[in-house]
Amino acid sequence: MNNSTAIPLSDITAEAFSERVFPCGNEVTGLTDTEIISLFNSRDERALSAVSEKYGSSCARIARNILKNDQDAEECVNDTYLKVWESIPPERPTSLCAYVTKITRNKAIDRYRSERSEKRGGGEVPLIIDELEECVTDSGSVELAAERREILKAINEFLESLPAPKRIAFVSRYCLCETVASIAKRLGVTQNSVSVNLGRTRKALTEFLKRKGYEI
Amino acid sequence: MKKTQLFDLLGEIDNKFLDEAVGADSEKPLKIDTGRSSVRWYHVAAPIAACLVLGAGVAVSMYFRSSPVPVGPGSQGSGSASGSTSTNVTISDPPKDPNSDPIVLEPPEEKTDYYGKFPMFALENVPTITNTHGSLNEEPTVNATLSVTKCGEYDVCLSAEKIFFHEGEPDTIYAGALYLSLVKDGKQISFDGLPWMSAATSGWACYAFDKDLSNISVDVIELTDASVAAVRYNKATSDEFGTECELLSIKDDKISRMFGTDVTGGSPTPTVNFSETLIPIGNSIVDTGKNREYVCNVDAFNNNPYETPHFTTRFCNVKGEVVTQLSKKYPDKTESHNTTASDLENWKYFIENANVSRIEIQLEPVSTASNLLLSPEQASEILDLLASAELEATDAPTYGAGGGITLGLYDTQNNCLASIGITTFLRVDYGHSGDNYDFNFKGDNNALQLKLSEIIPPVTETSEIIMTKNIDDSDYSVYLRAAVGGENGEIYYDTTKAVFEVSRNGKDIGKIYLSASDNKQTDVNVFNNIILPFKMKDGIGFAICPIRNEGSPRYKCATFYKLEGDEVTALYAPTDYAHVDAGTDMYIGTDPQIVPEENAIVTDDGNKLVIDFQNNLISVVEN
Repeated sequence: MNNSTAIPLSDITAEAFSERVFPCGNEVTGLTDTEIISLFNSRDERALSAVSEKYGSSCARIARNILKNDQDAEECVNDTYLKVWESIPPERPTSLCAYVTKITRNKAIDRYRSERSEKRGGGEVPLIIDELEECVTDSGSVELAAERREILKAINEFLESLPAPKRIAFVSRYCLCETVASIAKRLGVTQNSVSVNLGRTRKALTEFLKRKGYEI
Repeated sequence: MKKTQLFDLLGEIDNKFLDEAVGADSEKPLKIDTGRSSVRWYHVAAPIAACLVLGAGVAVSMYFRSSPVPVGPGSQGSGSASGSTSTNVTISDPPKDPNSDPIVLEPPEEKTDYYGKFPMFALENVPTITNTHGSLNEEPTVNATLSVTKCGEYDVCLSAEKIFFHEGEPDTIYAGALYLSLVKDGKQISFDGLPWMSAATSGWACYAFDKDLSNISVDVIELTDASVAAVRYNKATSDEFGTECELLSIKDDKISRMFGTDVTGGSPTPTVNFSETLIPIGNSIVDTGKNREYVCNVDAFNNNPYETPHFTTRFCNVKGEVVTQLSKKYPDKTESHNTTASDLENWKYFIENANVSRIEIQLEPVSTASNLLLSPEQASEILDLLASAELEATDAPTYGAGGGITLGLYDTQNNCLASIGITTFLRVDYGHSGDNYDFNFKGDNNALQLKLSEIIPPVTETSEIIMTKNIDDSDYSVYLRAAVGGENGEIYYDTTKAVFEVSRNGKDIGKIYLSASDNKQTDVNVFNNIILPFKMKDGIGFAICPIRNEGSPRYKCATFYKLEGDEVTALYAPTDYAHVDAGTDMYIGTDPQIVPEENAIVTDDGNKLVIDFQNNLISVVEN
């Protein structure tokens, strides 16, 4: 491995951060997640190039699905990289893909909500949330963390029970905020097929949660 | 539940579902065409120049002995089940015309003739890259198993990813990654990736092989209690040429790198550069063919050497004669004792308690000196010390030297004849023996003595508690522990390795790692106000401030934790969607005041940080 100099990154802006961590001519490709995390642990800025290389496209797509704004999406992805840089170590995610994906989603939603209050933005989020309304029978707020954890556990159980294509479609739509058209293209099916399947899966989720005793 | 809450909750589903959904399009990732600075994310290097550089590496690649055993597609390896087995892949097919052939992709996963993860290597399937896109991930490449070597009940598979020809170089095959996997009963049961190559100054970092794969091979040495696989390959980067050897242990259905990545500091992965043939001696000795022998400590296999060393070693003199052999088994590394600065004053104690990964000694002066100059008692004492501390000598490369301890051999005039430095990673540096090294010390006035010449605390595993906060009337305590380092004789606290530990009734219940922008603190007072315990109406907890310089804008920020039973829970702001172990970083100021009845902390700007213990949240109520 090359020796590299750790750079103090804790206090610089995301934009400046992005400029610093992707130096030309220091490309890293094809690293495994373990190797990338190892680079993070050694504070080697090539870790960010590697994450960008491996997951940049996915992150960008998620951010754009939510924000529907290229500039915001790019800034969101840079925020994600900064967050990953700051959190690994001490974090040692078992799945770097999921880790980066979740941070991107959360950063994008955070930004989306902030911008919506300023009457900006758009994206898939309003549509997705409206679609989820049919899964929700009680409009009351669930405040207890324990209850949230139980519901989340049940949702994971439900997802586990789904056939892979249906699960991928559902997760792509409601977790990664992907458009129906994009899902259809990726899975090689029609948009109508995706829509119908999503509707059935939402209904199945509602029934599943009811059986589990959650009238959400 | 509100629909927005369900939406938020769906962002927290199990990671494997996200992996699955994201991975579903990994072959053709969608991109945002922003029409502007996407180059910031995907900087394009100069792969053609890199390949020229990589190609240069091939010039020195015909180095290994070659005892090829044909392993063609669909044949399940070969080689004897005992002793040394060497497998090279012999390919007789000519390379395809790089300009005209279609890319042959690997067959689908469900094919049954897989070894490890990929199908057997076939030259005709290797695509040629003609137009480069900057990222190897965007190029047409294939993955394949290069060789299969029998090892008892296992097949040891050498696999490569991202294999390709480069246009104009029909004799060289490039691969983006290499690793070994262990296959048993036709199923991959373990694998361990070889270290990634250093990235070239520009372009891709790849392994380069001759097209017949004659310069990459796997040797398997079966020992009594375990086996060793040695992968020899060519390393081709702009600044490092030559052959490398990677050693892996095989035992109990696991294959593990014997020189793994340093888990503590991410130091470079050492490799052993064998210039001679590996020869199994007896059942457990590997001789490099030079005057150094490695005695494999088979009992310690399957462990990362940074956790448990694998090698014991004999000291040899320049004639190859064994001076002494230190072959005791290493104990598992323990962190039960945390060395403090005061411990380091006692060098014997330090050596005896060092968590040793490996030791490197300049063989000739030490061994010769031991023979000629030390009295039996003196020699015995030194060797006992080394043996009791499980210190051994190897010729591992020197790098990463930072702190450590140096033992010197001195004459009575205080002239240093030779020294042994145990460095940061507890390797021994080559001694700085003088050019006019002279062993002519036989008279009483020239009695040799061993003395401590320098003391520099190590910075790896040793650490000490530098701050303790007990939470009033509770079972809980919070400690700040940091590594002790040394530089130019000055002791400092290495806060990059700082950890906050939480205990309840003396039992550890949690650890929190925080990053630090300034990693060397010499003034312990910096840590005085770093932990703020609080006991409030609805709960108990503490805040910790990241270790930062005063100039940092986030200097006065803290993260907050709740204590309940044996659980330490990070607190988050309601708007923080990126939940990680370190909770939300919030401004706390320099003199925060706790208001227990309001579950609040008042900051110096008058705002209140209100803790919702039930929901693990912390909110700002502005003044």
